[in-house]
Amino acid sequence: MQQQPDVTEQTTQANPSTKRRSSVMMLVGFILVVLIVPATFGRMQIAEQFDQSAVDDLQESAADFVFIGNSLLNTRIDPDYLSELTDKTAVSLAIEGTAPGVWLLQLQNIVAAINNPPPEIFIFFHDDLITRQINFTGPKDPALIDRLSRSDTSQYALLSSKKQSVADRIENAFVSIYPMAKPKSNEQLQPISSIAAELIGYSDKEFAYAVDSTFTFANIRDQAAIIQSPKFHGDFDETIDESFLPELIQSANEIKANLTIVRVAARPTNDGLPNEPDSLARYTNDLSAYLHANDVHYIDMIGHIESGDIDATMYYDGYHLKNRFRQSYTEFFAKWMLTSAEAKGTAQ
Amino acid sequence: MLLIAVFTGYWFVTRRLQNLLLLVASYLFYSFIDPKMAILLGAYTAVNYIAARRIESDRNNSRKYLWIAITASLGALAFFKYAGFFVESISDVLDTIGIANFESTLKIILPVGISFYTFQSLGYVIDVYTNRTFARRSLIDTALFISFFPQLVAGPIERASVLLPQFERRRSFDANLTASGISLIAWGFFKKLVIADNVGMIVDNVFSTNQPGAPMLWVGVFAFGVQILADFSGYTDIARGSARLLGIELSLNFRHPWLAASPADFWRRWHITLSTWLRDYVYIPLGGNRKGRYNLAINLIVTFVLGGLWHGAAWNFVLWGLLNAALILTCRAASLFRVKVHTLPATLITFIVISANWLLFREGDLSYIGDNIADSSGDFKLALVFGITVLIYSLPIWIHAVIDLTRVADIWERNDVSRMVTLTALTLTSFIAILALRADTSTEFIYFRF
Repeated sequence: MQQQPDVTEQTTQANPSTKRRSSVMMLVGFILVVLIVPATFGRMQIAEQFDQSAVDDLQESAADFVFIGNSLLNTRIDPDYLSELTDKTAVSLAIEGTAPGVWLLQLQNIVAAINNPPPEIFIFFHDDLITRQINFTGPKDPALIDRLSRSDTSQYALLSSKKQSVADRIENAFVSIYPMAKPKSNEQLQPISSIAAELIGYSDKEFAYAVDSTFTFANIRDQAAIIQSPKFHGDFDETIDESFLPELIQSANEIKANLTIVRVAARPTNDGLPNEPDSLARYTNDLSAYLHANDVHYIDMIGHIESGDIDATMYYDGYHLKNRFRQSYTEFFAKWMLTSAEAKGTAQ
Repeated sequence: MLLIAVFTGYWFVTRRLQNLLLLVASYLFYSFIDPKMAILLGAYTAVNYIAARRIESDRNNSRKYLWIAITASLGALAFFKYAGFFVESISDVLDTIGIANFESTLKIILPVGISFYTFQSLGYVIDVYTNRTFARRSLIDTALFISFFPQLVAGPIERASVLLPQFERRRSFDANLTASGISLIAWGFFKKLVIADNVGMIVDNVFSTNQPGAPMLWVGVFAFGVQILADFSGYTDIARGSARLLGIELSLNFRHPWLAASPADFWRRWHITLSTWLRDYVYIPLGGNRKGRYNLAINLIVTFVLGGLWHGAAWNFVLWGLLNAALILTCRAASLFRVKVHTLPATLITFIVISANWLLFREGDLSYIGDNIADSSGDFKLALVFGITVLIYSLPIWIHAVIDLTRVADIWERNDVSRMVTLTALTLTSFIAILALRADTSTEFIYFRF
């Protein structure tokens, strides 16, 4: 009689313990399945091929001026209008959200690849972007890198070998475990939008065109004044060696093109003064000296803020100009180009 | 990372150390957002802790201590959240009547989550005053109640009677609770990264366009309704899931609001912890529905306007609150005339009306709304594609609601094995969908700005 409670006690003790063990085992199984299964998807992705049509288009245009940059360039220079004003052919290769890594690929694999390289190349940037070791300022687009890379020159390896941040390393490790997480091409539609477009009878291209024409920069609302905090990532001497700038200069030299580096100014402060901290001003001086030593033209648009040619009302946000000022900026730039050409002629 | 670090050490220490670990983690978390704001959080804790203790120990002067706590908490909230709005409004009025014209340069940084922890800490002091709970001796437990990191920045707004007792007992590891927490986190991230962020890109495109035209504008409004639900309920699920990993059960904040059959029903399903807070601490103390129809209407309007202002210091939020009160009052008036609508059409009408009402929440420029609300220009076909896209993105939320409604979930709740298999399938699906369908750019949670 005395042993019975012990048996009951043992039974009641054993059950929760077994149950607990099986719950833990199930939890481990749950975590393993959730982590391992997605890693098996997407391992067969094929890299996009080099886009030869970009080379052919530039070749056909017989461009005198080629502009390279991102949306800052797009909101400032209208290449067709510039061609009209200067009687020369201007072509813009601007791609939104891109940075020097992509610009180097464009210069080496598109501009330098044509038979008649343009005599003048302009690269637009802001703050210290020209010496930053990055490919994109916005969402990453590995497919764009693939389309701009010739497999024989392994440009992707060149870009990957540059200094990577901790965040980049973590992201790369994550993507190597889960290839499905690789960022999609900016030109690729989200599958859900694609299904919806298909239902309405749009092809992907028609849909992309409709989206672009409806939400073009020309239709964007004005927004409240933004005073941009200028971006600064370290002194010029610390960043130049690991940047793409020396290779950009070398590539332009190889095709005997005049390279002009244009730094656009951030939106001025409320007082109309240049938005330029001392650290960035020092960086700009060093950059200017470096470019001068390498026979590269340099235009710093901060001077045009000081002279009042460009003011805060022309800005859409911290860096981009309002669409209605694109033409006047293009005129302004054309005037500078013509004056500069005259000066060169006089000097010669 | 913080959650994983806490989770690892959490189960091997005593209850007091568990709470201390959570408190340190909570302040580290808040300091990481902005170190200065952690001092503000500490000040809130000190004021409300002392006030609650004094209210209980000195009942004769309890009203005085209650008002000190209310004034200090709401004063800080008013300063950080509303000072700029009032200065700007006064400036506009003076400018309009030609007395003065000055440009406001008052720029005050809004501490993240201040609206949430102000209400949570005030609720505690009021509950102590009304004897719904007792003042805690432990400063650590009280501080943790106000700062618990999974729900600090965007709720749910917890009650002392729900959260504090959980901190007052030792939590031990529970594999089932951990699995359900992970699953809830995955579901929350799915709602945020796949639904809210993708739909949010459509919303941003529409509302950044100068002249979208009425069809596109209404698609944008519908999309915003989907975005804000997926965004906010996604955050809540992540918060609730994270808390479950630590053995804490937070309150439900959403109960399928799209199934609401009336505006009043919607507010019983949407941001439940704010709605019940306003009901218990504003509407009922004002008299609720006890003092006749006229007072009921006034009380409802006051409560909803305050609810609107809680979201932000702007006139569109005031109008949004007024419109919500008007909708509820209209439905009450209709019921007086015995107007009855079948549940399904009532749900559909409520969904449309509430969706339309989000326009005032999303867009602060009333002249922009006026210019576009009936403008028939714009690309109708493109608007239709966006509308269908948003509808497809919203399907998982509808399916979740229908599953709960039809109690299909009961089948897999039968035993541990079926529950774990279901959780595995749901979590796996969410994770794969996040990897494959997440938006290119992720934005901050909408309710972080409140």
